[in-house]
Amino acid sequence: MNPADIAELFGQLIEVDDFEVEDNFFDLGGTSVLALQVVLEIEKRSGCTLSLIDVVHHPTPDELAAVIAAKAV
Amino acid sequence: MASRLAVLIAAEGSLSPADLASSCAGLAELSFVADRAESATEHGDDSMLLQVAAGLAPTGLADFADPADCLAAVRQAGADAVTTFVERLCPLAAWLNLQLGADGGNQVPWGRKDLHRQALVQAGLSRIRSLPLERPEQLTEFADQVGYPFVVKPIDGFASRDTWLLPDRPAAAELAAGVARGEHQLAGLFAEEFILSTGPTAPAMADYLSVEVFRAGGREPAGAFITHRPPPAWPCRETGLILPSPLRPDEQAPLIDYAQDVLDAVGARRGAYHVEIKPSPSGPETIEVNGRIGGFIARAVRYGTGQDLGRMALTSVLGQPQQVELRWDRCVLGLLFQPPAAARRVVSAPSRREVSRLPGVIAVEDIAAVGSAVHWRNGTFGMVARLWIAADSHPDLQESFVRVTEFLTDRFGYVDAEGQPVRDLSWLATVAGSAEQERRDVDERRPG
Repeated sequence: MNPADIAELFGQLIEVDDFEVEDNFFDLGGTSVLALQVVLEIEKRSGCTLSLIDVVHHPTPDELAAVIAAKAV
Repeated sequence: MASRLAVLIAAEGSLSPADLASSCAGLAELSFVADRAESATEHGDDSMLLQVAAGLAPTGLADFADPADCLAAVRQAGADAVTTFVERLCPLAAWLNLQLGADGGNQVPWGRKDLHRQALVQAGLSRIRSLPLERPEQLTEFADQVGYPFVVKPIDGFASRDTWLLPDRPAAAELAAGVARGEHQLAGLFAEEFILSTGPTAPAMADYLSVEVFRAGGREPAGAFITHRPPPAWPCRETGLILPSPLRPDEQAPLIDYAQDVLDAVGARRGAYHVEIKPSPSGPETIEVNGRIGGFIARAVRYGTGQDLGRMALTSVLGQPQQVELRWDRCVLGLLFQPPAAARRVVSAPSRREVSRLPGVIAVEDIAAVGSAVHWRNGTFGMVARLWIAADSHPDLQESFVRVTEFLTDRFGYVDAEGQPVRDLSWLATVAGSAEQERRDVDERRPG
């Protein structure tokens, strides 16, 4: 998944328009429970298994896309 | 110094497991301990809490009603210190630290607000009279001594839950009758004289404030800051927080000194503390003292400064001194929008997306769903919306606050216990009136 896809997912979950790739998921209203949904959705859409701690430590689409890319190598 | 820290968690913590996992990185090895009974629920916040916690750090279960079981869980986790950001778990965390030899000299009887008040009166830091309640007649007997209004609240309460503000004799008689009918229990409640205030602590704000204090072994000169509040909702519900303080440093200093005195008096030496203060005609008075940082304050600091208050709190818990220097880029208001006191169910509500589009709103954390049950007795956590507003100045912040409040007041609909529509504009009027007053004050201060 690229940063724009992740930004779109974040925006859908938090119900925010125009979620940018450098925006922080938790700063725009993301909660721990929604972060669990992020993990599940990313696994469903890309097959990449993230942990919740990945989302907590890499809360922007840019950062999380890099984590997904690193796991794919 | 502790290197392995166990945190007792529950749904209502002032730092969430995700906050803690982020703030503790590189500071200490983190584990969580959750209540076995609460985690057994299949639905709701508690079951999700356990899933979230287990995804972030090693998470053990214990019976929070059984201290020995908790001690075994903490030892199983290999922790050499314990903390919590859940008010009702502060006594348990204190006891566990005592067993681990990690109490840091703390002697506070957490969960006993009546004893806090006694200690403050003895230290000359409070003049407020209080009385543990056992019989319904004591309500009117106490009022005969201290007058109306007065407050009845749990000795181990939090977030204004089950707090009655009794304005007159009929209200006291009604509560006494409720006790007689078995609707309320007096055990565990105490009565306190109402603290008279000197008015709003700053333009367009409530008449009380809080001080967050960080201690690594006693008083530290630069380990504290002030948070203000929007006007409360009837009867005693908090409606949010405002940072930074608009008070001048010379106005802040005596309030922070007082909070430090309060912590000395109750025996708090190491940790992060939240002291609620009401400036009164006879000087600052304590509303209450909490053994953790205040709810939502870490988030406000993050939005306003980008700094990690959770990390500062954990650093103090671990006994490491620090300078708390917050560098504010903008003013922040966390709005906890409360339903009218008579409301019992939400019948209409705006969407998160609508609210997030309002000018000044930077984040929407929660909007109550249509059909949600509400009750003023749930205190601060009975809110129907939780969101964040930011602005470059306090007057601009206040302007956005009024507009958002108007929108939420208009879009939320409620019914009362009989199913009749409830509409109450009094809080909006207070907020809008405060804003208008602030605008006038600013105009008067502006050079001609």
